[in-house]
Amino acid sequence: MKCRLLREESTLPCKEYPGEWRCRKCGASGSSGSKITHCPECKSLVGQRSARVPAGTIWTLDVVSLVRQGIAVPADEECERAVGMTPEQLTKAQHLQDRLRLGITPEDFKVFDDGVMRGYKPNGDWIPGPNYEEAAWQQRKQDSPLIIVEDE
Amino acid sequence: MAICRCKGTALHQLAPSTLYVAIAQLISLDLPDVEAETFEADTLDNTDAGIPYKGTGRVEGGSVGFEAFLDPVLESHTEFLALLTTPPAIGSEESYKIIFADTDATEWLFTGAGLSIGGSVALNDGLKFTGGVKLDGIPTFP
Repeated sequence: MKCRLLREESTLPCKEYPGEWRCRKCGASGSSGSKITHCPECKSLVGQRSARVPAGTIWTLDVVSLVRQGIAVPADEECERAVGMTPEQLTKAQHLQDRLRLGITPEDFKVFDDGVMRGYKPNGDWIPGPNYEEAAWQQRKQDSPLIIVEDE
Repeated sequence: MAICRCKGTALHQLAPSTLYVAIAQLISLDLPDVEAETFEADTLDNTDAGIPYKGTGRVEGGSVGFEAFLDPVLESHTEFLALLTTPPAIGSEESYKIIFADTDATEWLFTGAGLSIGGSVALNDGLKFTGGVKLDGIPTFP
């Protein structure tokens, strides 16, 4: 049973997917297929990032769970049958995973789902979504003391 | 030097798929209180008023805690809860990472030796659960 990853994912560093490391003391860097705790050059402690698995990779472990969480899509019929989700359910799961990845906080779930925003800027402000202008206009109308008559 | 925002910080758990999967609907995250172990090294002939301390060379990793809105059937929550019913064997402890919302998406990787779960059901609030992960060793800092 197989699935295809929709986005770049991360895993423990291994031969196939090495994890990058960087030494803050001597500036040495590299990637390793095993866990690195000390810099090979100066022997000081180093931090190692988790290994990157590129988007589009075919994955064979715990496939059903990955598809149900919107992380992957089925890559064969066996997986499709095992997952048993409609295209709408798959799209919804992927949308929820996007929401999770972008770190959308619960109070902004509705505006994200409605397309009013599609994430946060570095200062925490919203990145406007496709429906931002419409929502802003509706809000202005609601807040306005005037009665706004729109053209038919 | 920068002040990083907290929105967007995530706690990931190494799922059975061997991929890191984010634990959904987090509200807050408590970073581990990592502490170098010390002992009181005072002697009777110490003439100073201050109590001297020395390090043992060991470091307590502490625990990572979090609060989240609980969805009892959500995959990322059930996978976390499953670790309580079938605790990992010694040598195959779960891996976790915290990803910060800075521009480099800095990671703290750590291994969890054990878990704790709690929760609250209140009329005037959403269904919430709290979790704790006791660290095995200390996190890998960048």
